[in-house]
Amino acid sequence: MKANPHANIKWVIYNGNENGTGVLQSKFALWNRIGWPSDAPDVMFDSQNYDAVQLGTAPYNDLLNLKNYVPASVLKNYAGDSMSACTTPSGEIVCLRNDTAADVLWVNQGLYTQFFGKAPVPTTWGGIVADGLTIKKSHPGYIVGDIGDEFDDDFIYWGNGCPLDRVVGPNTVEIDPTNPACTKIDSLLDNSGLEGNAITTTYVFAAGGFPAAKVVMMVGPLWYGTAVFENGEKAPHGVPDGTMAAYPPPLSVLGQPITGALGGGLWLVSSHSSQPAAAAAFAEYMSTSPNIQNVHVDAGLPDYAPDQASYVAAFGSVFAEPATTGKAWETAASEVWDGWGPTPWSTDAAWASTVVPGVTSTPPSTLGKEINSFALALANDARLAGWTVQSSSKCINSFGGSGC
Amino acid sequence: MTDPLVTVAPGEHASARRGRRPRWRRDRPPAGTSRSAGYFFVALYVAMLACLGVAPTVYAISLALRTPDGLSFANFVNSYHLPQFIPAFKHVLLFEAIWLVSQSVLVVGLALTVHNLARRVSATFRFIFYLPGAMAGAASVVIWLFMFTPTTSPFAFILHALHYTLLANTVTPNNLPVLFAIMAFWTGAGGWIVVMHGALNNVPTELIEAAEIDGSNVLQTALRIKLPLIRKWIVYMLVLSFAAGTQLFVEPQILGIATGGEVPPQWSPNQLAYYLAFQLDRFNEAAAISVDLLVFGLLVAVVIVWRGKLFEVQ
Amino acid sequence: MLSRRHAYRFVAILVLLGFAAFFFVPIIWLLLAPTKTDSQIIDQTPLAFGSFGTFGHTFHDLTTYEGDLVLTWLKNSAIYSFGGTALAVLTAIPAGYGLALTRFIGRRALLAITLVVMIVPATALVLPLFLEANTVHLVGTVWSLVLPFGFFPFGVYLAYIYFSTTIPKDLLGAARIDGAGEWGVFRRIALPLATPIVGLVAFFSFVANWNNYYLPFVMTYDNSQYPLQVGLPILLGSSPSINPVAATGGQAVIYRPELAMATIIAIAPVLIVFLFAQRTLVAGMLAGSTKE
Repeated sequence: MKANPHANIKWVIYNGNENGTGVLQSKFALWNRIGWPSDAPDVMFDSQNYDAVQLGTAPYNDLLNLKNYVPASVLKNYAGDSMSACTTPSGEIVCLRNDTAADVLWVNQGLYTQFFGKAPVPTTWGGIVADGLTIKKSHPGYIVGDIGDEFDDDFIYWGNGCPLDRVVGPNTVEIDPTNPACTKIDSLLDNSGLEGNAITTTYVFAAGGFPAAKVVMMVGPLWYGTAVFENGEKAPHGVPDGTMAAYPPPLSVLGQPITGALGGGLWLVSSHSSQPAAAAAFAEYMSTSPNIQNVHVDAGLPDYAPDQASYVAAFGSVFAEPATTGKAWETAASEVWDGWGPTPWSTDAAWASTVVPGVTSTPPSTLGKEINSFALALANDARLAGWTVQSSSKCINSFGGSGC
Repeated sequence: MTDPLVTVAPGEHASARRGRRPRWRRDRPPAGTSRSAGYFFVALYVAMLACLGVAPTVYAISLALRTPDGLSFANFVNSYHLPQFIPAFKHVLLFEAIWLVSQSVLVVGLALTVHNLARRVSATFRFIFYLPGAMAGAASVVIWLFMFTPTTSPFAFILHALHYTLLANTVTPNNLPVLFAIMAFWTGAGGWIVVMHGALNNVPTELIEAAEIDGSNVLQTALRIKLPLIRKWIVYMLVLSFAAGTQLFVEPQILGIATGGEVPPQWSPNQLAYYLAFQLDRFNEAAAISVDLLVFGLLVAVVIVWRGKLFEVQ
Repeated sequence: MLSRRHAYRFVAILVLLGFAAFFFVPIIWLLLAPTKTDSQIIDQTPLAFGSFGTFGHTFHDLTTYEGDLVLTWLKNSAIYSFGGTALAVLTAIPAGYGLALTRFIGRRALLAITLVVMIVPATALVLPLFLEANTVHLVGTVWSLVLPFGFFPFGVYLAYIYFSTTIPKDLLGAARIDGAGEWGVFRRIALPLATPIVGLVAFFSFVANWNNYYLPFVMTYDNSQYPLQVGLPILLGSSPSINPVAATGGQAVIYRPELAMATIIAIAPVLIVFLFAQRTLVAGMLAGSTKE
């Protein structure tokens, strides 16, 4: 802003398509009909990941192609595959990522050392389950994971390469719950005997307060550190600063170094802006400038790689093992699996309406029992949006779930 | 209802007794009164009716019939075949059934019970009952969000008895029709209890006294004397409530926001229409679903009006 | 042994108290919530009282959210609702009178159409209304809401019922024979008797306008134009208590106490109107049913 005092950019924060509410979509759809008002925002910060591609392609086509405004050298520096959420099928770049919310393995350093001594932190899901069994026997009441949140599909399925939201062509998505990546993680967790126990079904933002002090380890996005575990006001039953450390996310059940993600915002620039260059520059500034991408301003790791080092260097005593934590964050950011989205529907909403009621009920259901209804809800969303669904599952290929 | 004007013009009075003139003719202004005065009173309303009532309805129908290949029912067919269409209507019908049955029984029961009490006590109860009516819409959903969450709710003892420990437990898909019925009852019942109370006040006391002398107890008096006399208002309540219920939108929409999508964004038909229009930019199919709801509501309203002989136009 | 009468009365009171709790307890909870902090809401018993200090803190957090946004929303709600109600009363009262006590060709048809339109679901008309508003460049203006709010067929019907049942026919006949024009009759006979029905129509119109969600959401496109009802879900979505991802982007001060307080602000005006309109309400409704 200081460098461009004459540019009067209007920018707004939106919740975007949070769980299917479609705030941005509805505004754009109406404005496309009636003409964009002169005071429509130039730049929008959107907390939902899938909006950009939907809004930047037909029938919307409302986002600026930033390839024409942001130097290629800058665009290249965004971490790993995370920019896939900003790339349309025709290769346009329609957003800039603000922060990345890749999943890491959070560990309560003190508790872990207390229970497992000098043993290295698990690097696979199997390892987490093994530790969980030890904890269940010797230290009951402590937690190694969570399947009761409304977005755990991002850790469990996305992080394991299970194709339930995999874009394979224009308006074509693969939704295949019979894929080994899906069935293996389900059976690993379901047969562990830990669900409802060391793998809790308590919602991480539960109204009763999440027992963060009981977490020995948990796969979760990197912003869990300060938002779930360590921040006193946001997490009433949390732990003090300097307790949690992040480690690289576990390998997928098929052995791949991939992980999921949850959140991270996008900077969108409207193609109807009257000052596209200034708007694009603003978006670029917000997502790349170290003044903004700073641990005291923004809870997420900057997606812009050159900023990441200074971001983690400023950790100080916020986390235990800051060096390991910083490295884990950066590693995770580059490992986000590109086989999940972007699609114009919310996978979390489908998960929340199918799996969550099942696993949190009494008696609880299992992931394996619920995955078909989850996948079917996703297929319904896809078909509603006019997409084609590819699957080798008889259930998904039947209309209305009659084959399930 | 007697027509206050009939006695004014003797000539007209005589012919009305013969009853041969067509009904619309009876609307001719009586001799001595201005012809156009009536039009003057309704002018502004008619203008608004045309612009804000009729025109949008016609436009909705035309939108629904418009396809790239000209006018046809394609949008109706296509929207019917969407995987969310039939479930959405099932959801709302189930909600309506639960809500209307329980509301009728409870409103009438409460009104009858309250009617028999001393004036002050009765007025206090009625006041408490209709207070929630001030909170319709988004506000009531936020309130009930906290009521449905076991850790914040004063009704937690009920939720715990059902083994619910999380909001996610309460808001499971199978419970939704009941939850929405509870919310709708909470905001709507009070107003109707007041209306029923007013209607009960008009039941001639001689009838009640006669029945009591005959040995009828309170329950029998209520059922045999009072109930039939307020039947018209019960039907009125059913019609208006049903029409309002088909529009169910705000409650599932906001509950969906608050539970991260546990209530799917296309749970009710109106939500589906909204999603089609504003998420997928498919206004024509959205209009088709709106017209479906419109026709549905109209059909039921016409049937009830005809059978209930409610809106006699004189 | 209790007489039948007493037994019945006892049971009746119990049942009524139970339902009264159902209706009233959520409101008490709501009023008490802003006096507690987020953790207190969770940990203490639901109907506990917190402190006035916390209440003040909650109020401050809410009213400074995004700089006065909530107060702007309150102002918008007031403008849209009062404007719409004024227009509704101005249209519905004369129209109801005209339908009830004057005669003109097409009167019955108009009444029938009114009934039909009363039952048409409002949400079916939101989009066409929007497109209409756009053609005359009214989208985003106050008129895009006040005009639709002013169209109130239910109010017309209420006025119709009222005027056809409460105006003594002899009075009308006498006034007409005296040579008063229709307008004179309306002004001298009907209007003075119309206070209850004006109150009733204004009341229903105001409550409907204030609580309307869908139409304002579509007609307004900027945060600063929203009424409170539309703003409330926005607050929900920005609250980390409800939407965990909101914890990431910058400051977040809206937790459960603030949500509860926002809800109180959203309902306060209607609640106050409820309290004051109570007498008029009942009178109006009774008057409408005396001759049925």
